[in-house]
Amino acid sequence: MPTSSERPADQPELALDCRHVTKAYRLGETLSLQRSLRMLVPGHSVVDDRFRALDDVTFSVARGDFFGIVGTNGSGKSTLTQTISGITVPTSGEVHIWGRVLPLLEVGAGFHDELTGRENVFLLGAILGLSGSQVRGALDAIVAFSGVERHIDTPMKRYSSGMKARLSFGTAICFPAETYVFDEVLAVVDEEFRNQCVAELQRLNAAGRTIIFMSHDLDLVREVCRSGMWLDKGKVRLVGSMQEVARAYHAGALRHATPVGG
Amino acid sequence: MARAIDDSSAPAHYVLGASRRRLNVMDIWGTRNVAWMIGVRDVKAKYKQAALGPLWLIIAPLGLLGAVTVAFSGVTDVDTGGIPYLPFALAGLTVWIFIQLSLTIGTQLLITNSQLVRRSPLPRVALITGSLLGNLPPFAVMLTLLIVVTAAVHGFPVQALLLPLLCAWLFAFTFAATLIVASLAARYRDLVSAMPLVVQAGIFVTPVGYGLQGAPANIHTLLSLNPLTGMIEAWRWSLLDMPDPNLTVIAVSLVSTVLALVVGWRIFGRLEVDFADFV
Repeated sequence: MPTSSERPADQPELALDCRHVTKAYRLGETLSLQRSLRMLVPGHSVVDDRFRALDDVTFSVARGDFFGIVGTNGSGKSTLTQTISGITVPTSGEVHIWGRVLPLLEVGAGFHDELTGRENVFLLGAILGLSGSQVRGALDAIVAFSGVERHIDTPMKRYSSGMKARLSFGTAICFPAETYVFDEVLAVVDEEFRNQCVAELQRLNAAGRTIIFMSHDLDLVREVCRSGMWLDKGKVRLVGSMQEVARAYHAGALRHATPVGG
Repeated sequence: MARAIDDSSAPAHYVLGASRRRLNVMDIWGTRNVAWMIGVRDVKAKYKQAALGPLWLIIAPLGLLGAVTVAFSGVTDVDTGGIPYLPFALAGLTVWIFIQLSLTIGTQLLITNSQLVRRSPLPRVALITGSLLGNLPPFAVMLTLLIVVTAAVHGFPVQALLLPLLCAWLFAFTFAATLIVASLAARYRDLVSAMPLVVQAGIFVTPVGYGLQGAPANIHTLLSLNPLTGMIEAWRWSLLDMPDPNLTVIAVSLVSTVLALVVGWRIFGRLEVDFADFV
């Protein structure tokens, strides 16, 4: 067991614990000839504009929760998913994770067009750290879920975008993990497959898996998530039950109806 | 990916943070499974949708061999120390082609795989080792050619038994060089433009098609500082019994390999944490 000092005493079973996570990016081009020349001029230094994509983000997700994260474009949702998936490192702060995290941040992420569906499933499994036998164990379920039986040995470049999305989801959902992270990926599939995915996510959740789900589709988030968080310009605005968060977000979004770029 | 802090039956506990050192030498071995898959992917992708497919494994080196033969031995007399020119050039080419290929692909590695780097928790070191694994087929073809030709026209001295060590040395150097160019190119795209130049000029300032002994005195110092010179000297001495290998140059090459490994690993470790922000 992880040492008890690593967890707040009142929340014994966590899947994820973000502590004061800040992620800063430099604004503008990080390198250019213009910039290099300017640095050569004596007494002329280049000032870095820093932009905080995540600003002191602190929240935790209980094990077995179905957790939604809402926010407008540019609120830092994608940076947060990258950070908790171990793809990018926070500038400061720490992310604590218990168990394997399986991210699906983009449809087809990790797939290679020249490889067949089957080869891609094995490649993605290896990337996620699964053993060959774990992948083989999941393969039948993946094929059945995504409905690409006849095409599993066809190169991916001949897949339609829908088939690609199905296989991508099937792989992410059928691989074993403790926590599943989805970033805005259900937006691209048709209604029927979306419902199939939601049902499968709910089944996984009922089996004790933690689901972290990012979206700006409020209806969907309300429908599937139990608790959630509202992220606004890199800051946590509210953490609570999903209904409460969605209501506040909806009201807030109406109040500041100006679109946020990014 | 960070490593588990505890390994009991409860879900493993990972900590991701700026102060956590993420990279460990053991990761090279720990990620061999995914590196292998990446290597296989690259090889498959390379020869699919190509009429001649894997035949290019043979055609490409033969083409370069022809060019080198015409350029060096056709124009001037190459002093090979009495070794037939064909195996002499093949020894140089076997080393050169593997490094050239690895550096060319290595510079673009993180950029062509940006989708993986930005959207999946792929251990980045596996991209490097995987790409090297993917370059093994052309190397194996060259090595086979070298061995067959040497056996046919020259015969092997006893020190040819050192071949596995020579291969290990080549891999170590190439791994180090790839670590450096791949991580720097992710930040400084200048390297992407510079690498073709380095590779094209490189074959002239590396004794691939000619020998160090026969090289004009004015470029002798330059050649001695090239880490590949000593390596090729060692290959020719070991496989072809080349007389009087230049031990100083071999030592320079060995030292640069160790240095490149240390420097390359540190650069990679420093830069790999934010590859996802730069590609």
